[in-house]
Amino acid sequence: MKFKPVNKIPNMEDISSEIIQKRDNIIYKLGSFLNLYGYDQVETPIIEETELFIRKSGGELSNKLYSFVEPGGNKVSLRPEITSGLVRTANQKISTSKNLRFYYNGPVFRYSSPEEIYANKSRQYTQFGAELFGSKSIHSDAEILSIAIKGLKIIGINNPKICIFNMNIINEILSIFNISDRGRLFLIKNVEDIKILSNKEIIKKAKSIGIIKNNKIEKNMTYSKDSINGFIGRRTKADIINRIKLEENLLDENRFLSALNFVKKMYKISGDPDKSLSKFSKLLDNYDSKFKLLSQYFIDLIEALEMEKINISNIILDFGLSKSISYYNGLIFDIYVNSKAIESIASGGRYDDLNKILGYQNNLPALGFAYNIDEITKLLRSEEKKVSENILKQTKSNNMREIINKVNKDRESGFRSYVEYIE
Amino acid sequence: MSNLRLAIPSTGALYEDSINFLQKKNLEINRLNSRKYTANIPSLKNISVLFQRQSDITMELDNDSADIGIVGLDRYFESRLEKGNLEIMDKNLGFGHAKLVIAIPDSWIDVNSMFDLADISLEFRKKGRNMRIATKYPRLVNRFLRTNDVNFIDIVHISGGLEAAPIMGYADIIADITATGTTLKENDLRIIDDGIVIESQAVMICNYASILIDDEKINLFSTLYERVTNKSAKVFVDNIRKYKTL
Repeated sequence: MKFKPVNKIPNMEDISSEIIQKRDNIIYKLGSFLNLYGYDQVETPIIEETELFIRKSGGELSNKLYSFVEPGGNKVSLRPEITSGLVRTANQKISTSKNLRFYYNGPVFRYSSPEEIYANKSRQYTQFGAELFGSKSIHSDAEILSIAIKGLKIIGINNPKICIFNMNIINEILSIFNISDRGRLFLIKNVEDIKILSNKEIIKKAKSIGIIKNNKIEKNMTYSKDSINGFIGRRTKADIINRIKLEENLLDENRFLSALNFVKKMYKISGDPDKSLSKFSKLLDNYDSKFKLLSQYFIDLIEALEMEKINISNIILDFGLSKSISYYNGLIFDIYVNSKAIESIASGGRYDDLNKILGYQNNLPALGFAYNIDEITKLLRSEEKKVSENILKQTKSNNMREIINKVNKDRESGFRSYVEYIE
Repeated sequence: MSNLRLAIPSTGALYEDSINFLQKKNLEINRLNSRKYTANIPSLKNISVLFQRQSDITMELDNDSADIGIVGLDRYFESRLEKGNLEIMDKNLGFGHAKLVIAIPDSWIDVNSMFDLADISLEFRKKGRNMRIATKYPRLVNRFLRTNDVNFIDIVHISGGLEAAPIMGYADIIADITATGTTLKENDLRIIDDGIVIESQAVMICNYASILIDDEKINLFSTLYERVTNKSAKVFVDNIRKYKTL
């Protein structure tokens, strides 16, 4: 039987020994550094029940999962991230300690369809990250951010651009406008579009997905339970009627527009913390004075970062940094290698609600970050390390016993030494 | 030289239409009897016709068990390998028109769009279960649902009549092929307005790696290509040569 060679599956890479050395060196340095802060290394399985990742991301990662049924019949996926596995570990250990500090590294897998912008990127990544469980203190925010920044310095990245924001701000501000959860999510998810597109275009989009009332197609909704006939499946008549009532309470265009106008101005605020905060205060002039308090978080954070001896001049307070991933509820940040870079090399934030989302009963404040190790490995130049090695060539005439003795002696004295055999 | 292997659907409307289509293109098939799974084309020597299940044809081409195939576009996209060696020769054979659609119980009067359906998957989720969808096209349907934010779903594989799955309780909704929608209506199901996963028709596909194996095969392929499409084969062959070197 004739077999063809088996090729790699698309977007999976073989990794050369040079890159592995560089990468492992970075990971080693970061691990030793994290250890100084009291972080312990943990590992979680590469395969977990699919449900774990679906819960964590609210479904957002679900089209990127490598899912299959394992031989035992469980629906599983290759992990697309490591945090959710760590939350489980943290829950097992939290009774023994008030604060838990973990770091991890390993491969994660994310499928990207050929139509996406990341179509040509490897679908296996290496992540290195750290998580701090059990604290809500501003100093824990400063600790995680400092570690992310100082860790980069340890491996030779000295002037990164650090963008920070706090998800509580957008959440609380949108509550002024009294808009639905769906509307709120829409405004958070579409930051980039809102910054560049006209209001008209945004409103059109919001209408098309049923966030604001579309008067043209609005029907006279006078349904009662009796008007629902026939087979209904696992839903109930009450489910259907309730949804129709919700539809009636959809946002009107004006309410949505005032929220949109506000976030549009807010998303554009980005720059050094002092200037950003003063712009933000001005924007809040016409609103309830209690929102002025929202700025206080950043003032406290900067102070805590100064205690950690972080160079504040690299920090950009970016009001347009909002992340769509629904579980972030406090500090969020992205770090870039320099002010021009487009792709972040680290990102993280606070996710106090994730524990409940994953099904645990207790509150477990948590925050953390992950480095994109592959990107960092690409950025850093190899450390010039000349490896001296002896290569002994076997020939027909020479004595094999002598050669083997020689290479073994070399190895014992710490030299790399090997034989090229002949057939 | 080896024969050029042409796979066509062994049963159903697509079988009849494929035979008629080829006949019109002066490629009449000589099948000795209906139980025989191979045939030849007297007007073009060295072609083996293989009758195969439509759902297998794309995979057979990917596995190098056939060189050319007639298949529904839906089946092609469902089964082909990413970055495999398949290419569409003619995307418009003019028969086999059908749509793969998402259909829900007609009584769900609050659901009119995929956006509503995303909401319903959340409604199921809040009750601690996933919405179940029965389909023979798990890959296409999964992708379609995810891109429409319908995330909390379980795909149920059913080989028989899908339309009955919701009433029988195997699934909450279905994604099925329909031409007119009549069968769906008879089973109290309704198509969601923007729930069209793919509009399909019969296409002719080839495995370019297996065709480019030698000049005789390329010549035979070119003759067949020109009869089917009424176009010169040169551009197509030049293109697949480029793909092969990529």
